[in-house]
Amino acid sequence: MAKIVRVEWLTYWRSDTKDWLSIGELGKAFPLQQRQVKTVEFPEILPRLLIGVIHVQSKRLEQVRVEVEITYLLMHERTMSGIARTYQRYQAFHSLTVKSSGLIEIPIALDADENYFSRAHPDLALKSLVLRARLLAPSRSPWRSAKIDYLYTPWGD
Amino acid sequence: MRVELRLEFAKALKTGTERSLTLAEWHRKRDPVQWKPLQRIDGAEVPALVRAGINLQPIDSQGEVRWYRVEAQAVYEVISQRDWGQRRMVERWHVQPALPLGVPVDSGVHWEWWDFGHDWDYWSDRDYFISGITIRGRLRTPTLGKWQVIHIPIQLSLG
Repeated sequence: MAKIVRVEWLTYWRSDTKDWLSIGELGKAFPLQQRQVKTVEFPEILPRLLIGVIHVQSKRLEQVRVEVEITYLLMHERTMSGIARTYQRYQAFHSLTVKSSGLIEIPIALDADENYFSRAHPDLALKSLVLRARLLAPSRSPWRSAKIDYLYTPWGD
Repeated sequence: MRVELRLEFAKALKTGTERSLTLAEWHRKRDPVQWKPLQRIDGAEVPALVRAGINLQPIDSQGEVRWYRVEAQAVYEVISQRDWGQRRMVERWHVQPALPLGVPVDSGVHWEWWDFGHDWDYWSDRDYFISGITIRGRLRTPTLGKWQVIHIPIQLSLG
């Protein structure tokens, strides 16, 4: 029976300069190194590019259907606590033919999102990104999720 | 602000060759990859790693900041080898990303890639051929746009 074995956020950097990649650079001709991102300090080392990854496994060749969502959670910049607003950034249904293991990868470029939030909601700050996924077929599974919490410190620590 | 939706669909080739890159190769070695627009598929040249791009470009002055919701689908058709009249449509991918626009440097771009290799195996095991792929996309909000369609015919080679 197919199952979602892991949901995670990844990012990539240039092996030569250690710079985070932009979405336009992904797939260009230089070696990439993969690093798992669980907690990222904001804003000093905010990656420009995040990739939501869903790992699916099945012992036999099987068609699976996966629902994926990405949601942004924003908090008040003044109080720095609680979630003031949520934005569903992405919803998808992937039909995947899996043999042993399968991957769904969703690259998200944060530059434009940040610009949008700073103009549209200047009193709010991005706090968390939540990626979640569940199987719809061959049988429905519970949601599995991965969350990045930005350690937002306006005083710059 | 008015925007234009551009839909792209490409296959991954090992740079400098016509050899299709598999998803496993893309992950294992991170080989240099060249994305080539996919226009037709010869039966013997099944692409494995493919990429879909959804690109929103402003086409007049940017006076406001908005978040646009876009819908895109990839659907392929399979035909039974036993009964050529029997067709099935398989929805492979259906997304609704929200793309922000409104600051001069921004463009709304969303990429996804996936592996088609096992699809061919799966349907071939069941005596089906994949006979065509259609990628389509449209703007959903703030206004519902027309579907933009890319159809990729598959040239079947029956030996």
